[in-house]
Amino acid sequence: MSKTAQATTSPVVNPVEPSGPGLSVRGISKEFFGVAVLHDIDLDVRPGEVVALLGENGAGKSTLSSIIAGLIQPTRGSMRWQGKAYAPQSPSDALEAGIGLIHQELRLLPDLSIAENVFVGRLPMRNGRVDRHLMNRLAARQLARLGLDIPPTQRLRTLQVAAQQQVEIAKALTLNSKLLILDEPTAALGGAETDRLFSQITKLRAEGYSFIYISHRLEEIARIADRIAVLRDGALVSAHDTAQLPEKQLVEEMVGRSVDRIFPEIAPPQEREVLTVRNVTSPTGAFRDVSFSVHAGEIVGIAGIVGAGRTELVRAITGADPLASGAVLLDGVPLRLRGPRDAIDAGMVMVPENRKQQGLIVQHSLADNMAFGNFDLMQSGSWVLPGRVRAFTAQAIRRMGIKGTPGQKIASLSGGNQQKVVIAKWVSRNPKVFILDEPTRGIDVGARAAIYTVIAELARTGMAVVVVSSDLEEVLGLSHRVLVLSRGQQRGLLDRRDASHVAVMELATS
Amino acid sequence: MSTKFKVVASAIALAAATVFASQAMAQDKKVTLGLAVANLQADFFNQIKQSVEAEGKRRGIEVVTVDAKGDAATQVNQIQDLITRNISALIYIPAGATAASVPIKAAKAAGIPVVAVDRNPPDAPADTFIATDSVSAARTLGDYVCKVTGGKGNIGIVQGQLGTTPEMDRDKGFSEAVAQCPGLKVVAKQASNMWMQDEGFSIAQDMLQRNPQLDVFFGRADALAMGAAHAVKVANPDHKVIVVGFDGDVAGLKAVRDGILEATMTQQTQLMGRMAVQSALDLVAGKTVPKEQLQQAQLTTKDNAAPFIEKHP
Amino acid sequence: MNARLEGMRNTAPPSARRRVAWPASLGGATGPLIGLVLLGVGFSLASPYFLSLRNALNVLDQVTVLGIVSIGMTAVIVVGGIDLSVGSVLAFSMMVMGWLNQDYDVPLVLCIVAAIVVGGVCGAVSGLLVTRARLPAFIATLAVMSVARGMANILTDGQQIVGYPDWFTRLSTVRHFGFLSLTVALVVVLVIIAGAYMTFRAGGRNLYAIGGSSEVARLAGIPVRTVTLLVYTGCGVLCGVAAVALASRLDSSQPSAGLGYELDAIAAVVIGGASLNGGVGGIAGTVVGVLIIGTLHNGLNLVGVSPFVQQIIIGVVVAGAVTFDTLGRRNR
Repeated sequence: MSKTAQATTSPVVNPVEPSGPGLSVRGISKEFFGVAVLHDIDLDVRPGEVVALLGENGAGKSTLSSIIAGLIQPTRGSMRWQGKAYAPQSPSDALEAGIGLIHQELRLLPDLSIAENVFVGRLPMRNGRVDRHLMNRLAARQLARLGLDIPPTQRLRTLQVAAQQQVEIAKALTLNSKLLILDEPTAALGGAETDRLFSQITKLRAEGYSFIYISHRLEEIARIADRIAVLRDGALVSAHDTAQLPEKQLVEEMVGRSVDRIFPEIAPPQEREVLTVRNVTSPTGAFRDVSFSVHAGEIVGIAGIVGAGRTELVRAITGADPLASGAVLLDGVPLRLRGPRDAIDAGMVMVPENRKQQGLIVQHSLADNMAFGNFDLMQSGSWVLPGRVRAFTAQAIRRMGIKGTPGQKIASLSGGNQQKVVIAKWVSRNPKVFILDEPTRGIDVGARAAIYTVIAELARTGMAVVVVSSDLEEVLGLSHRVLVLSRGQQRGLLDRRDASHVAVMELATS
Repeated sequence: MSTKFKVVASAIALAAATVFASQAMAQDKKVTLGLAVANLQADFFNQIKQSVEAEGKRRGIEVVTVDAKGDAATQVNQIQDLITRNISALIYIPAGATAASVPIKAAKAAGIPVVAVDRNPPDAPADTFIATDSVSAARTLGDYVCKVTGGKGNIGIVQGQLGTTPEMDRDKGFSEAVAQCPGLKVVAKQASNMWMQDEGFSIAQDMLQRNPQLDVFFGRADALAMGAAHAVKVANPDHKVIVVGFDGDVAGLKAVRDGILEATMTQQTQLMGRMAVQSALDLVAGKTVPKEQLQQAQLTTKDNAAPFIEKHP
Repeated sequence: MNARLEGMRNTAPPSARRRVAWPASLGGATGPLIGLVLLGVGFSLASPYFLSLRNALNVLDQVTVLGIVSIGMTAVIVVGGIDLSVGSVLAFSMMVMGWLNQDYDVPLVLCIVAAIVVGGVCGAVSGLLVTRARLPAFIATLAVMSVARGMANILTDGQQIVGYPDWFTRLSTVRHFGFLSLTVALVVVLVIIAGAYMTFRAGGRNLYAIGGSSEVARLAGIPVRTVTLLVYTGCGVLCGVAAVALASRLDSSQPSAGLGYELDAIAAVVIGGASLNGGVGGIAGTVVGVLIIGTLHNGLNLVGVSPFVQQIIIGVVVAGAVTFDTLGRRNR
């Protein structure tokens, strides 16, 4: 692999000859039950190169990466890898060939140690017993290589998401993977953790490793990728030999239409104070002595890096977790929060951080999900009739512009439409306070704009809105004021005009 | 639709109808016995089942067997099904602690004669009842224990499922014999739930732990006794401990032959099975059959075990 | 999998998307229903005694107890739990009824009430262990199963109780209007109530939310712990009702009654299309599942299949029915 190091310095014009030393994908198509989801994709990844795969959810990125990693097999087309024909029938075929996939939702065993996770399925043996000594030593070496200072015997469950992800990378490296596919690796990471991941990628790239990098975050792609391939509706829309392109151009390629502005106009707030949070402190110490208020029609953003206590704060305010001390007032009336129901009844709702685990029951239908928690709004007498539920849902679908039918399973909706279902469910209650935790996590750019419009609309109708996000652009673009948390402490409450990228990051990392 | 097709179709329909009709008629004339067994996991019941089926085969009678797996409710369902099936007579080995009367009432209501085996519901007795005279057999066993111990010793009893007729009868007979033998004392008694060997093992082990001076174990069934014998072997006491059982099932008889058990009372399962079939046929034919047909069990020791293993009485 | 679904979203023909959302409690039952019909046709051909009104009524008689228990089990499984204690609780309730009646001369009607209350208390204990002590449902109900069986035996030292008044046994034996015994009528009423509740009432629909994801349900303002406690209590109450029906059918109370009923009930619920992961299932499906189990036992007895072979056939049918259903679901 040593000779490939030069390739990174001088980008070669696409396409290269198919027998090149990296991965070359030619004419890959995939159909499920006769429905085409990938059409005739060509893609090249050369050694020591980071190729970004860009596209909305449903564009075919995951299908393509699953084919490359051997999870599924293409209907047509061929691949070559390191100069040889490559047609993996299973993930283990791909791993053996040196191609590893790191999923967006990590596939680790939370109750085993880090070392066991790294070596699962191929634990080093000696005399018929697992050689723990050797295993821990090898794992420690990999962790050190990634700049991680954690004992390999630590239980995986005790690690932060970011560290768990690096365990996955360490695992792939010990498998001698030369090409790593990273599926939305920064979805759950904060700024500092993202930086560390990028420096690792840069280091490994210099050693000749290649990456296929899947992400929605255009600014990240500009930072880390060498080249960009854009997919839309299962087809390759464009392939760029540089990552330094205007964001607007990329977004338009992804959504297939021109996107003038991502963030909508935000109307000025009203005078009336709706939500007042006074000196709230968490029993676990996740946040201490936080105070803020939100006016009718106002959007307050909460910024901070991972672990700052943002999610814990909004969960406690909405009754999902207990508060140790402090008060939450709605229209000046203190709330007694014994559980989410108390907050909901008072008119305060939350769109939770993890859509698929906290917001929606993905195996249930759209109508069922709309109904859970809202039966009081759709009963006739005290009966819940399927017809009423469907009508109620159909109305919400129209109002929010959700692409789906009442009977459709949530799992078959795109991330953006799923999020709209959660929002629609709570909008139906006409609440006073609307809290959204990571409203656009894992949602593609086109759909994000629609969510932003919805959020702005909520404020315009006079609701007090709180938006928690790891995406600083989002917080800055949407909020009237920005509350910055760092290690559980309130560092500042900035006005829209003072809240710059730099100002917020300074407070967040203090 | 062509005429040819119609002809063929009606021919097939006619043939099918004839076959069904003749089958139904054949089944109406033929004598069918229903056999409802309490629990085929127990060798004793299985022996009776095999005997009934063999006898039925010899006489060219159809026997339909159902197994309640020890559950009275299941047995009521099964007997309901047998009645639907138009059986000529029912051989009923009740499941549950004491015999349920519901099946007998149901069969009587359908005009089907009932032969009860092993247990008989007191409030609704069957037309005839075939069983071992357990009280007398247990007395015989008690007398034998008195004889071989020289009339002296401490007895531990591994009881069967409490509240069941066999447990009560065997307790009665054995207690009578012990009372006649002043040197014998029952010092420990504990019940099992399922009459199973592993229960016998753990119960006897605990008894020996608490009371190492036990000389005799009486397992209320052979399986319990064999469990107890194994516990004795594991404990390896400094004095001789004899173990006696009851039922004389195949495993028990082999244990007697090999000296693991001192003695058992062999119930005449094959005989009871044959008698059950005979009584059922007599009842179908309208003959009178005695209300109770109690059989003697045979005291079996090392000396006479072999022929019973060869051919069960 | 995810990619597959996402991919299909864009290109699926409109007809596939227009599948009407019908409550899970009815929609899931079609597969098992076909199985039940096939079973009926098969047995009708194999035995001349099978296809008759009388035998159909017999099957209904035979599944009353399992039917009542399975209603409770459906609710428990839909909220993502399991109740292994149903058979033992049934025996305990049954023994309390007989014991109060025989040893203390309590009027039978009050004894019936006591049996139902005892069942409810046992269920509540399971529910508290699950919701407050946070035991896994499997362990909590395993413990209650053992305790209840022990209590059932202690009351009479393992003896059964025989001799209920005639009017009591007639509840299950006399067929009114020529076909409906009171116990069967009771099952029908309970099925209708439970089915309507789980399909058309907010409280019933909430069970599906809890089983689908208890965290989602909690954040949606559903009092998850209270509802879960009530579900286990309700299941216990139904065990008490089943105990009364069984005592009437057997004309006795037995401490060994109901052995292994939990497995039959779980099988019936799962055959009826429920998922042991929770959130899926329904009363209609369970009824079909109960009838499949009842028909299977009845039919095999009528055909005269040997008891040992019966066990094999039942195992194969249970595995087959559930496999068929799961595969069908996956392809949908």
